[in-house]
Amino acid sequence: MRRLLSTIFLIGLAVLLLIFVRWEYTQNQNNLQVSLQSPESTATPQPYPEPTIIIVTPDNGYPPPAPTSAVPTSTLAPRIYIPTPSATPTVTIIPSPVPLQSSAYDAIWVENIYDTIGRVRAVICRGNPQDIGNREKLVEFLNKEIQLAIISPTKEWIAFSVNDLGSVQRELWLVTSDGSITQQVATEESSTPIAFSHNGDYLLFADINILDISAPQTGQVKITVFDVVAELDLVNAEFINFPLETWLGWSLDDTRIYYILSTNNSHDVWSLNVSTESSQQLTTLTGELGQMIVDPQGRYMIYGYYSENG
Amino acid sequence: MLDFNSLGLQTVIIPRRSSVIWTEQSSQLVLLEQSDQSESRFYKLYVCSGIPTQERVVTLQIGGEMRLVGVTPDESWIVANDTHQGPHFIHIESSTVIPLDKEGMFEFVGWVPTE
Repeated sequence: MRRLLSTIFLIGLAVLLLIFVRWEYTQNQNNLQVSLQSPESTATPQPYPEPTIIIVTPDNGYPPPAPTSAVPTSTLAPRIYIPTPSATPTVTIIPSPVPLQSSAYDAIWVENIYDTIGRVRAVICRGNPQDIGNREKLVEFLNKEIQLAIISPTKEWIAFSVNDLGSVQRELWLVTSDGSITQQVATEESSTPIAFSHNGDYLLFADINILDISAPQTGQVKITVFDVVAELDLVNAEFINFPLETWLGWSLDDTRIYYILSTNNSHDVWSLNVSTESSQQLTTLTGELGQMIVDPQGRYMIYGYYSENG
Repeated sequence: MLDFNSLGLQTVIIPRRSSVIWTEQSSQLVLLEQSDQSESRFYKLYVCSGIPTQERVVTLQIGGEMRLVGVTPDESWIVANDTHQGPHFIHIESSTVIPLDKEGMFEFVGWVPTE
């Protein structure tokens, strides 16, 4: 009887041992299914979903790699995309013969901006061509337009005339090229050329008034030389029967002003001494005189002339 | 050199459909010429010193009729106004064209040294 009980005990113990081993084996199988770190811990791994590893490469967006490079080496190996040299984009850089260089000079320009309801806005802008988006507004006028703007030879000043939309009366202004100083020089009845002296210290302009409505081609003209530095009128010379088409110019040494004076049957070139305000006739022509300009160096006068015989 | 300080007249043949301006020193002419390939909208820029012996050619691909309105004193940049597309700044050596995004009617005034 005792021997029978010992045998039953040993069989039960063996069964318990077998159950424990089975349970342990099952636990190992579960671990394999959740861990990729110890695949060698099982002798017969069960199939499981292959993890997908995505490697984002710099050439993402370019044509995909050849299919052979994406075939896994074994059914258990993760699908890893390794870019091949053929998938690397080819970038060709064509160097410019001479690189773009920033300008050593800023541009100055005028913009008259008209809107759809008849308003106007006038600005003088400054900007470097390579960085033209960062322009600077030197001056801005509302409800006025800029008709004429010139820059002084020294690049220090910009002279310009503004007028109300549709008006012939103009205002003559000065602004420094950095926008720091703005000043009004004069208010005039009509628009005539303006010219800086070669040293940039004086601004020459003329104001024209029609005196006789029956002879509208001539009138009273006042030539003014404005001292930009001292901010005062240096010369105020008035003339009667001056042609309305007026051209003005400086001599090379800035001591004289050239202008056209009209008489009954001639239009001649005259010279006005800035210091003494005395005039001297330079030409004796009979006929019509066209436009006159003085070359930028102040050495020559160029004018068109129509003689009496054509 | 086309030296206007020497006496006498000199004649320069200016190509048709060109715009011409003086450099600031008044000793050189700068031409912007619409070439014979104008139908394909190519332009050539000629920078001449008097007679065209010192000639540089830059081919530009811009839209419409260009009018040359300014050149920097060092002749590295020009500004040209396109009748349809507005003003453009052009770096001559690199043929770089930079359009100006303007708001209204454009009028070029001049150049000042960069501060």
